[in-house]
Amino acid sequence: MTRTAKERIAAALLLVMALVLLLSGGMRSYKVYDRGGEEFGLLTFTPISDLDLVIDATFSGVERKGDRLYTTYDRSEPRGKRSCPT
Amino acid sequence: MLKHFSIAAHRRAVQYASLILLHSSWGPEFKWLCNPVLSCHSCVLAWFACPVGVFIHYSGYHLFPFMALGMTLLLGVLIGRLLCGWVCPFGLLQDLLYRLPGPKVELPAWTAYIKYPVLVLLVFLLPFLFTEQTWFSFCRICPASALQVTLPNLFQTDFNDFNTAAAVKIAVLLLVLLGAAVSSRSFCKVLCPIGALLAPLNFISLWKIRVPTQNCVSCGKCETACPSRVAPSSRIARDIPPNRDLDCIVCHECQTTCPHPKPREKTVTNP
Repeated sequence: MTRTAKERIAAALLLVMALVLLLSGGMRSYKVYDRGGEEFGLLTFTPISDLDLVIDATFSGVERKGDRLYTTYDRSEPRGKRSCPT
Repeated sequence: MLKHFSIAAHRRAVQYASLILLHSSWGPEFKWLCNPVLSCHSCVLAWFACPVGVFIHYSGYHLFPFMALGMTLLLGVLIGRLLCGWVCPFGLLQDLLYRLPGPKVELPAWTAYIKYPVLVLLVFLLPFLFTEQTWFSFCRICPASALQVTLPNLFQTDFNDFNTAAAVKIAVLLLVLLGAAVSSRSFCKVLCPIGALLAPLNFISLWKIRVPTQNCVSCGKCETACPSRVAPSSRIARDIPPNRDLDCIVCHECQTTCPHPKPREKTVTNP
């Protein structure tokens, strides 16, 4: 098998992997719990998509405590321009 | 000659246009899209997300970054490190700094491998172990972040917010800028985690630099022109695209500089 053929096969496989990752991400959602949010003894959460989590990751809009993700801002308000504290 | 000039001029024009366009948001954002160039998404003018920052946060969240990794992989397979050479604003800054007069050095080849442990430790492992807010993440020392966010914030607050974190970031920035002035694209070669992510994809990317092997006269001009010093002639001589190298930033300078870039026309002689 020529070098070019090997490169093309590898590229095709990685391309498929990239598309699978994108599709998988598009179908995933995560529970992000509200800050101090307890109603009737139950924690309230908002399901957000992977795309929304990417956006939240750009300004530390979500933090992990224990095994759960918690929002760091009021999701009922417009997000606006936010800076990442890191 | 004119075509050679136009490719080099095109690259510089694209770099300047990218610098402006990537930092032109007056409010709207597309920060669900990871753009694999070193540009801090905390900049108020930023349109897109930086994959390094997103990976750091996902590592801290203990989540697999499906979309972020998928986007980065997709672009890498299609164009390799083309964005490093043509779009990355920090790459443009390094190119301009290297043009300053002064002593120039070539870094030893082994320094190009430092960026891989930087990627593994400061982007994935340490944020995974100590959360995304850890001091031991790349965002805490990122020179692009220092330039685009830390310094403007300090000027805005009259340096009232100057603390250890800011001092560390600025110190790293100054070292990187000094390095860029004395060694071509030293940050890209030695420290950039985005470069480390995209580098292996150079070997299989669909984008290829084409320099006809049969025309090579071993003049060495491509070696001199290469900003990454990745010896393109060694691959051209073996009929391998010169961008099949970990540290090639696919700038096309080797192709631009080649005195014989076009395949020679076959001549038909009468018997």
